Amino acid sequence: MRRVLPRLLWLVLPAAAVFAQSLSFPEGLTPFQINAVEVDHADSVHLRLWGERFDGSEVPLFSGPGVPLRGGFLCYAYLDDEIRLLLGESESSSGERAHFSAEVRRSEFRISVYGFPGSLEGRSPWHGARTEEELGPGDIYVLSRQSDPSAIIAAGIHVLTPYIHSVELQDPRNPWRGYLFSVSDLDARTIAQALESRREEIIAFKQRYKNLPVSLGFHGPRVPREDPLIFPASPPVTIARSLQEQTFRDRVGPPYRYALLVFSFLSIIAVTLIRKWKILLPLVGILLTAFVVFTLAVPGRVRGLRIELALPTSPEDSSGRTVTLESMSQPAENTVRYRQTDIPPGSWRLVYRSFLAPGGEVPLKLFTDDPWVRFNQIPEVRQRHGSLFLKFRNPLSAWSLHGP
Amino acid sequence: MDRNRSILFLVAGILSCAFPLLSASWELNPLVIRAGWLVLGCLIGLGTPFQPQELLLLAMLLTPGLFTSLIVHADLSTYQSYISVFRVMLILGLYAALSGLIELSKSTTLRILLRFGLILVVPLLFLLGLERASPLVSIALAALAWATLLFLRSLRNRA
Repeated sequence: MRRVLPRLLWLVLPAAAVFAQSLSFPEGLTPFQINAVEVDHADSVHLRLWGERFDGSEVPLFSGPGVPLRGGFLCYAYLDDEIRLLLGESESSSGERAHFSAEVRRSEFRISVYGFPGSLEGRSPWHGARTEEELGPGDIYVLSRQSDPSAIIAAGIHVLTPYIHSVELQDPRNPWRGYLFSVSDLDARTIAQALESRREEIIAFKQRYKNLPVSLGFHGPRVPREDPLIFPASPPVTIARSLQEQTFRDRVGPPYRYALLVFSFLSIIAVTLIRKWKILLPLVGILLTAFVVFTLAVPGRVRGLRIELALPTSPEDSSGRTVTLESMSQPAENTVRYRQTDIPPGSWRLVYRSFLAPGGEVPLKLFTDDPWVRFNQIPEVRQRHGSLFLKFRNPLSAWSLHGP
Repeated sequence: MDRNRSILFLVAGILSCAFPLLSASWELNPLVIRAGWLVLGCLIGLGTPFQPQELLLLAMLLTPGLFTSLIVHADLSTYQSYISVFRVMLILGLYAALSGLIELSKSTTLRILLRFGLILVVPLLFLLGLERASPLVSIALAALAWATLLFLRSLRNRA
């Protein structure tokens, strides 16, 4: 027994440490967002995360060593609403592999309230915000001083105050402006009652914002146009598809195009004119070496498209008006930019971005701040030399909302 | 190099470079691209087996087009694309060695049959296994085929 017990412990304790690994989600798990995932207690040198869909298919979500944290590692994963299970594998420095999984339980729908006098803990869906910057469209600003709230309302944030009763701030024609709620007092009970009485309306408002980028597609019909920047009665997806086709018609790009043309032209002349192997082979070899050196020294550049559109005048009808765009591109810039000319000042914008990148990779930070982002595919987050990238099949396209 | 073969090489080089430029908006599976270039190389060697210097020239002519196509149509990185090109060229080397072995046969009918068989077998071998296997397997197979060919040729010359 004396011999067996230490051996058993020696076997069981490391195993317990390995199986104690777990996944946690500091900000919850939200579909259509880049989610932070913590792998706790992992002696890991490499992490892999993948998602299992309802139909049983698997999709890679993360690959890399992870960002070190106290007692664990941080990684990232983008989810859509069809992933039901998050699976992971970590490899330790000794080569041991541990597997773990977590059911994807959607985090609670939260509405942030700034300026609430007291605690909102346990009062779902209300959630106390510490700063004004945390507020997004559909959230609540408790205005405890006499000041003009029109900029806040234009940004889609509801204002709750006892000081203003003006109906002019409301605009029934614009469904994206926040509401002005007049309350008699600023004590916690009165505000909580006001919130509860408009609960359904407030939730529906925020859901409408969220659903806007999430419900948009990527494959609209082709519409013939006379002016390349005027889209008569066109929904956002048609505008995006049309401009994307125009921008990314050529996937090769100028550097490789010219390198290939120069190589083929010179090698054709060489093969046509030279008959001696001793001259022909070294010459074509030099041409090929020059091509290889060029491609290694001048890697392809990321090319992008960005279109900023106003939110549709009504959530149901987004195709009834003519959209006029202006080009915002700067010379020698890799990204082609367009902006709708009549975006109301101070309002949120619907943004379409598309990338054509060599090796199908763009930095993750381009998307980490977006509250709701819908990609045309599920990109995998990859970590190389400490930097995080999204790995995808070209082109990567995304709809998202951007603040004023 | 005889005239017909040089014309074939020119056509292959032009096709290889023109394809990525003319189909710049397409998205293709990397396997299809690699198999396409391999079949093109095998078809050029259908008539007479490649001499080593011919094989080298053909590989150099096909490399830029194949590389660009893998980058543009299949989104591979520069490193991955060159590894893929290297694999395809190794299999082309294997094909050249096997077709050289076939030429050692004395029966004309058998030679013709085997040549056509090889056109099917080598790309199939590539698609079914060599494409996923380590490049070392391709290197070993090509080296073995060439060593056998050179050994048999030397035996024949002695006889």
